[in-house]
Amino acid sequence: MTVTTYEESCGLEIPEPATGTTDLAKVRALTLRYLVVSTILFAAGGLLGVLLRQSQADLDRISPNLWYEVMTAHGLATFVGWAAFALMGVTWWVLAECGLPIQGWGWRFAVACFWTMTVGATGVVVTTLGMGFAGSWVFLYPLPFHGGSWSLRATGIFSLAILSVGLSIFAYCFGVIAVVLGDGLGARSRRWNNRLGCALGFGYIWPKRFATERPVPFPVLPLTVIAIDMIIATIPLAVLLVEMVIQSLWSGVTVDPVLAKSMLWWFGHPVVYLLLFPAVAVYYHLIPRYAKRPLVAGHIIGIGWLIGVCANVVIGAHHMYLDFPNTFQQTVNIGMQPLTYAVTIPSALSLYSLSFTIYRSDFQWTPAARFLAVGMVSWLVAGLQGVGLATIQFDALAHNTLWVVGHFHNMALLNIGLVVFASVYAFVPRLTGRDWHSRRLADWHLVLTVVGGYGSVVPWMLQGLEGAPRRWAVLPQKYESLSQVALPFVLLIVIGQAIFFYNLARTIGWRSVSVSLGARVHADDTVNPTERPTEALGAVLAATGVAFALLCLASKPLVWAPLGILAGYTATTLGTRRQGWWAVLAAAVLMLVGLAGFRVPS
Amino acid sequence: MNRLMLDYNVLYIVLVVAGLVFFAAIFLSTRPAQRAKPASVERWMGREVAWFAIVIVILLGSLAATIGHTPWNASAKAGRQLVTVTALQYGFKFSTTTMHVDRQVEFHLKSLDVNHGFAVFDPSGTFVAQAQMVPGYDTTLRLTFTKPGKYVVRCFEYCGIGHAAMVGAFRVVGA
Repeated sequence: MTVTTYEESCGLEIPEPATGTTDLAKVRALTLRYLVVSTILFAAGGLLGVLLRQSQADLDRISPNLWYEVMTAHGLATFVGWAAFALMGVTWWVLAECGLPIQGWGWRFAVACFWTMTVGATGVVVTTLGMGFAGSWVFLYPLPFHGGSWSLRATGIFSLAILSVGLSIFAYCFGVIAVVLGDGLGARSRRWNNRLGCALGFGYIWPKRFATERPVPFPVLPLTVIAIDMIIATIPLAVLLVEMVIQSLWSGVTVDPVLAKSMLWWFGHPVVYLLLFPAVAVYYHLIPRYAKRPLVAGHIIGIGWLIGVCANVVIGAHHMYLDFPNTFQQTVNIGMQPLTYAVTIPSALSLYSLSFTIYRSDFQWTPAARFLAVGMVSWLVAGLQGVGLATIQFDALAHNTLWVVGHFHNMALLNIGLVVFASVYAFVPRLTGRDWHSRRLADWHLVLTVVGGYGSVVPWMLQGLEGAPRRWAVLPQKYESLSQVALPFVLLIVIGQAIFFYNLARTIGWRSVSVSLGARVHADDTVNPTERPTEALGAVLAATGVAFALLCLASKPLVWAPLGILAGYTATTLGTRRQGWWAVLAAAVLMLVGLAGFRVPS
Repeated sequence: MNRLMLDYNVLYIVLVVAGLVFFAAIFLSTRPAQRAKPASVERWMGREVAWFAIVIVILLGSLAATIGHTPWNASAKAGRQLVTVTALQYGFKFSTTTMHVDRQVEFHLKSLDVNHGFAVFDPSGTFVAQAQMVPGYDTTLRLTFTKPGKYVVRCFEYCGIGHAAMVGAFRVVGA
């Protein structure tokens, strides 16, 4: 690809991705496909989150049934469908740019990972919003069989959908391992176990025994660690899901609740690192590029990741500190605290390395670099919260309060989410051959996301400090005012993401979207934009604007009409001027009708 | 507000502020005037070992200071009151709802259906303690109440669509 991007014009050295037996155009299109589908899931999941938050603030209260269905869908759509899925896609591109070609079994698993995740995400949407499954995204056994408001069939299909997500994770892990075991790593040994040791960074500790032709690229370390850990972590969950499918058919089959809980959390904590470790790989990959110097890391980083690969996979039980029915479990809980502390070591070392890579460097503050820099700050802010929660004495008071909700949104949106955005800003020009439509809009995206994000997270933490419970559709009265304080900040997040979607759509063009969603790619296809890039997206937005306008006749016209106007106006900028203005007009008129008191009988 | 929770959060804010100062220094060092000063990458690479040691010491210190404080380590006192609490979607059933100031209460927490949470709030609304209620298991939680009045119990583990309505109460009276 011969397009000169803004980043290249800054004098940055951007490596050409490694080529193998699979066409590079296919790898580009696959990575873009991951990013487009995960972004769509982010938009959907994010809107569901807004619906939850405004309902808790009593703006337009929804029923508990719907609230918990939406809560289940929101958690899975944003955590797995967006952040994990996007970073899975980014993984392939990072590995390729590190000189490891995506080919053979690596390529096959990358494709399988995409489709199994897409099937799983679709199943989650159908079973939650369509079939009423509201067992929460951790579906704590045996709740899925005692819901009352959803059927056993919904539980069975939901379990199959999550099983598909689990298969996607397996495919991802096997794909990463297949790629790092290939010749691209430069390992001198032909033995697979020695090569795996090289990919884990053992060569930084024992350079003679794990010799390589070149230093192992640092992003390979966290990716290999998470690939190994997630295979071990996902097997028990898959067994539990199979049991749940069987139980949905034959109710006599059951499993012990504590065992089920342990199987869930055995997976449930490492899966957080399915987001964080690929995000670390992106930091390792991009920060040195923008600083124009190698990562400031020595052999100790190898020790850090060795601790990480061992500790990460066994610490899930720290989610069960408040389960202490017998001495065995109490002893396990005691052991969890030091092990959980241990897994913070790779983070502490990484933040050190990244910080001093930036220190006094000719750092290029590109849009992606700004997202990463703020992400690093959030990593520390949210990481310190994590150390607190790892401490039994503190967790006994914070567990299942909104403080925890604040913590993981801080980590997932304002660290990992910012890394996802940084990846999009850094890689999309290389994937599509087109530079960003607007860097200024990227800056606005960052500012609105961060201000809105922290304005949204801090009230949760303050509520949690006062003992506000999480997963309550309607909070006790004393916590309501802080829920309302958060709402304007939630709106800032929404505006920030609307700007992002607009900028992304203008940048990549409709043809790139269609290619990424499954159109055939040829070897010489540069996935370039076309003359009519965004009309289809504009039409969808205009239709959404009209839908918001119609909701004014059901309730809260002052809520729905501005959203309709925003969607309609955005559509006017995407080449669908007439439809967009019709949507704006409809929202304005129906707002007046709604304010006059007219309501469609329910 | 629980005093211990407040103390932890004050410490947390101090650490965050220190972190923000650190990052400000790092980011501002990329200005042309700052980066003109010599900076040895190799030296910072070497200091990573020292940073590793500092992190280990901090974590071990934190572990030593806190590991003894677990919600299950209160030893049983003579004359304690035994109270069985049974959870069922969406309510708590107490064997008795009257307890006494300064007399240890030993709660036996059980669930008949799904996982629930047993979270206790004192008469001023301050969060006191919590434990999970797991079907098929008996969890023991020992608490000693110092304030008389009405204590509220809320379910702290998502247990279905009526979760937010799952509230109970008991009364603590003078000795």
